[in-house]
Amino acid sequence: MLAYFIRRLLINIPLLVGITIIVFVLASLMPGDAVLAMISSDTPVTDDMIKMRQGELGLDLPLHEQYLRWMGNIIQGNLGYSFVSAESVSKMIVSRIPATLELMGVSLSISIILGLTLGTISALKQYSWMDYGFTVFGFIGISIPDFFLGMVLVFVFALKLKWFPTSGFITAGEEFSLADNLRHVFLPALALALVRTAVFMRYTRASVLEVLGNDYVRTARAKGLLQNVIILRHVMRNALIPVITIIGVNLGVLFAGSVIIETIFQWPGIGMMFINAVTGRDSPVIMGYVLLTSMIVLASNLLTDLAYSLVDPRIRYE
Amino acid sequence: MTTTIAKLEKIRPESLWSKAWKRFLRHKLALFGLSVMAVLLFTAIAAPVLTPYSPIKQDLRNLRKAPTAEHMLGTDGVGRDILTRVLHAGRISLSVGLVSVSISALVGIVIGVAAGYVGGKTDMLLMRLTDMVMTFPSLVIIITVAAATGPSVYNAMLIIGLLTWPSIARLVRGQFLSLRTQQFVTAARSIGVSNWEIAFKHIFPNTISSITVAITFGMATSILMEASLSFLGLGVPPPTPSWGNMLRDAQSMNILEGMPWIWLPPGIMIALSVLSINFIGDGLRDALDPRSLL
Repeated sequence: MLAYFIRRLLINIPLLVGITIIVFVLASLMPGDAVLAMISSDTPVTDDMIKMRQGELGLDLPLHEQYLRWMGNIIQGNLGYSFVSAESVSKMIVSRIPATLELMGVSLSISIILGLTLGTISALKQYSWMDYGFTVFGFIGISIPDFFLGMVLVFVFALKLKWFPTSGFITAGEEFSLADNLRHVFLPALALALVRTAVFMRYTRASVLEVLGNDYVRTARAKGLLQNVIILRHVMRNALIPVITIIGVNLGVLFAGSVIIETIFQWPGIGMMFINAVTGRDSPVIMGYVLLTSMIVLASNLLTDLAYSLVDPRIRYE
Repeated sequence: MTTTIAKLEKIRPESLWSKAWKRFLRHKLALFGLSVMAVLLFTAIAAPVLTPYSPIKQDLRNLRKAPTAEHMLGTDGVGRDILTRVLHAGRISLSVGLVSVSISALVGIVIGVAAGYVGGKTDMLLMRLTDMVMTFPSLVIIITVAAATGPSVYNAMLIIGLLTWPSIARLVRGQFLSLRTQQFVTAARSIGVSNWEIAFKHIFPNTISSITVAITFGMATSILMEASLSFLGLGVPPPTPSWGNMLRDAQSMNILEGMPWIWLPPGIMIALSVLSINFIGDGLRDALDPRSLL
């Protein structure tokens, strides 16, 4: 088991190196020059000064040497400095990650609770009007772009009904309070949750249906166990195994998928930081973000494998 | 005697495709999707004939007009007719979807066939490449590439196509791996059929039904991605309308709150077209691949 895990970890290293190369090449293709971006237009500068500054930043070196310098810094935990604010990229990420994690956590909880419940009901009442209705709901869920859903939610619940604030992390000018913050997180979390609710629901339905057909479920019924006991103890336990994989894979996707929603709702997480960096051609920040999200996707895939083998003792890795 | 032959002729087995078509016709949601898509495609193609307005020319006497008989869906911030723009945007958004899914299918099939049929080192290298592209959080990397190359319709098609092929490649590879050990392949090889012909004439046709399903769902994804990119200003550049870039107007709270006719129609069109394509995909999966559970 441990050996398997270590091997999987090692396989990911060349993958990660490949990703850093691509990210680096992409960032160097970005139009705009770091030095020109740093100087303000009202200070007169000579070409010599620009050359000197480029030299300091290592921008006159051949591309592969620039890459090695960049990698060397990354290994030491230095992701570089923002062209726009001159802040350290690692610090920017660290200070914005809690907001993103909060949004993710709330959104994921909504979709897990709803998805598993609806999926189970759907399977237990297969081919009923409820099952049919949930299936159509699932299709709608994967078809509406999250940012459009976000707009509709803001329009209805924030602008018309005024139940929730339109955007932001807390009410501007007020002390931080959890209740206020939760009111702010609700709409963006809901907008992000719909797709995953639909996905989890479909997988849960399929998985529960498969388990229901097993002999041990029939045995449990024959023993005269209560329906609820059968469902909770015998069916759900086994049906959740494949669902866990899907939830795990979605962790990474969700982490990277909140960029547009964060921007619309002015949620101060790393997604909004990324979009601002893209607009401002701030390549160190872009590189830092892409690298981080790719690593999180890799890590969540790995953890999913691990969780999978923990809940299902039948799975053995050699 | 002749009657028995006539009877035999009647019960001649149906072809796989006609059976699949019959199964497809029984799928109500798929039929709904197919009809909606037919209407959407027709209105997109016929857009210039259907409305008298230009999708691009500004009309400063008719700014932000609520829907009237003249402008059925009202006008936008520079006086352009929303209905006209939504129909013309359909041309752009649907073509971006179609072209990018074609690119993605082509790359995916080539890589999948090479990995699954050749096997060995080639397979390992190609699958590592596939894993790498798959690991990229697709929206993030698409945004990054789009920012590096600049917004244009063709860039959007190319970027989406070149980053979404891994799922098709994996599908094709998987099917090739299981099919290439089957007896009909051994038989073909024993009578000296070339590798190329075995791969494309004997094995490939067996994978077409699952590829069709994957391409249909891929088209839905591509339309969503184009919408996201254009919404961020990195896809289809204005003034050319696309459903995604029309939604940009709603970033202003005034428009979002007071003028829903400007932003609701393009959003509904995205959702409706993606929903219909997903319904069609589901119908195709039931019809072509009855074994799959999901």
